[in-house]
Amino acid sequence: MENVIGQGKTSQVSWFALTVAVITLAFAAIVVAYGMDAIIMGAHDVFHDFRHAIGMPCH
Amino acid sequence: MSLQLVFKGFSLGAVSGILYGVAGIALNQVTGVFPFEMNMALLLTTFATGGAIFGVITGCLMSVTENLFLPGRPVLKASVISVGFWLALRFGAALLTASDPSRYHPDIGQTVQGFALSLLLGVILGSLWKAKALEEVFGR
Repeated sequence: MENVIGQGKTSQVSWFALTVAVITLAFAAIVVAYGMDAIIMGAHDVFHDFRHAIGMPCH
Repeated sequence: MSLQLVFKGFSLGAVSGILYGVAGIALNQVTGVFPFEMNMALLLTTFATGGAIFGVITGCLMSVTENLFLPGRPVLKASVISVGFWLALRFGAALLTASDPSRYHPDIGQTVQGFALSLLLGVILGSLWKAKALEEVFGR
């Protein structure tokens, strides 16, 4: 199989698209890190143990 | 920004994030700073998912800052980015604690563990980033 990715024959990604992707992921990380049920229902309980393990405060 | 570099950031970030999540479970079992309340299957799922999110963010930031700072030192650079992102989240958490201390109750042991894990994420990602074996896939 031809390795298209490694040959550098790739298109460009716009900075805008990349910025939107990073901001979206950062928002997801904030929801996970702070357990924001108001944004995504269940985020608090689902990631409760993960949040404690990475040092984020919780009750 | 080349698609190759973005793909590298996403892929290596996701892989290192999942490894970070699994390491988080193992480290917490060793330190015992927090008694887990879920079974192992749920722990692996949630830690892998959460870790992948953090890892992809770090990987993307590695791609975006490819030539901006520490260009030839991926391990140090990934560690700086990972710890910096964790510190930003921790600072926000500190603000939440200040506004509602009973709801957002901090723990020193967990905070130290979180810092150590963020450092570990950077080391894992940086090591994968400079791995010779992956140059065929992602290029140099």
